[in-house]
Amino acid sequence: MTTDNGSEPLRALWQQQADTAFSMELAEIQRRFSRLQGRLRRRKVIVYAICLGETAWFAYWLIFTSLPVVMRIGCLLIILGMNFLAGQVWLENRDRQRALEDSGAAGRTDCIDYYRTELVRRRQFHRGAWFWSRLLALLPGLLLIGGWSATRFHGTGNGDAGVMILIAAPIIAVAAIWLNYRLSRNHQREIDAIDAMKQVNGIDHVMRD
Amino acid sequence: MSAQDDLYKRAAEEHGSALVRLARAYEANPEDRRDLLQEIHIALWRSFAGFDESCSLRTWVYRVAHNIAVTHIYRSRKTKVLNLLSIEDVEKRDEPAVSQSAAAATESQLVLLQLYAFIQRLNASDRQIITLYLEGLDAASIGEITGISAGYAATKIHRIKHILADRFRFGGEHDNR
Repeated sequence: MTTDNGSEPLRALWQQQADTAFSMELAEIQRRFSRLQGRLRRRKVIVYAICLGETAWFAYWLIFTSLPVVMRIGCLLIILGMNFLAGQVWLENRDRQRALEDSGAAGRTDCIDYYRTELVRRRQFHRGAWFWSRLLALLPGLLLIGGWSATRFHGTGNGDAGVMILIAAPIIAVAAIWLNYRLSRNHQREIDAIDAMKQVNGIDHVMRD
Repeated sequence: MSAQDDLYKRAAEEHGSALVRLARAYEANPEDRRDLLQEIHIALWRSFAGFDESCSLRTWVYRVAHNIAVTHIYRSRKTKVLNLLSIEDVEKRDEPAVSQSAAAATESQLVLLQLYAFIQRLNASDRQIITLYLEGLDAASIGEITGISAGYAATKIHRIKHILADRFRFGGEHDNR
């Protein structure tokens, strides 16, 4: 039989650890805080620049070249998919900036609720409307462009590239769906465990996603 | 010096060492750990601008630190490949978390290394409970910080005590099962 007291020496050992010295001067904290804010602002600018850049690039191909309708639709879908992705990066960035500016929320919220919110955010990224919107816009776009290139330039280098796109895009899409759903299931399992924990303890407020 | 700065200084003095241990429970890599610690200190300082004294300073400090640490590990890629376990999963598993040689060793450093490796495999909520328990907090305080009831925290602590005593034979006397 093992006694409960067996963990006490371990507890003492934990609390008496050496190498626990760490300090930050207030000036350094303020400097790093400003630097972090600057980094988040720069990331926002980069997202805007990427969105504008890729939209302009595809717009050029749509307006100033004589692409067939199939290619035009393909380009539009790819622009849409890329912008969905950029939108998600932008939202993540916005949440981080908010969390940084209102760090008091981390003190007012107990750990279980905070953890659950984080898990829900992660789960949403990996499944649901956001995930399908970027996939369903990118995949048909790639298939249209690949299919058109494969038939139009059959037997040439461009035609082979089209065939490669036609083969690779569905494989990548299936892998992305599998991976994202696996991750979202892991998150969901943890969310369920937290909810069960709360119910067991008579915490009767219903948490909403 | 503002009240915010005063509170931060007090928190850093009183709980600075605990924050280092907490960061180590979340991040094994020394560089990542340093980043996390800096992130916690920045958040802590910022948070005191909105400290409403609805809870004790200690509760506030631990909540901020654990909440920031959770966000930190979920932002990093590591949690995607790691299959994090609950205390209950660990209890069901037969294989020891500590190798026989490590368990037999008396060097405290080795035991601590194994303990950190064990904690880093746990999911966030169990990781929070076990580190708070190791810091010497009682069930009621752990409940207040984490949001679980004191009764549930006591049950978890009971389980944790058994697992620790079973797997990390350090110091006191233990019988083998």
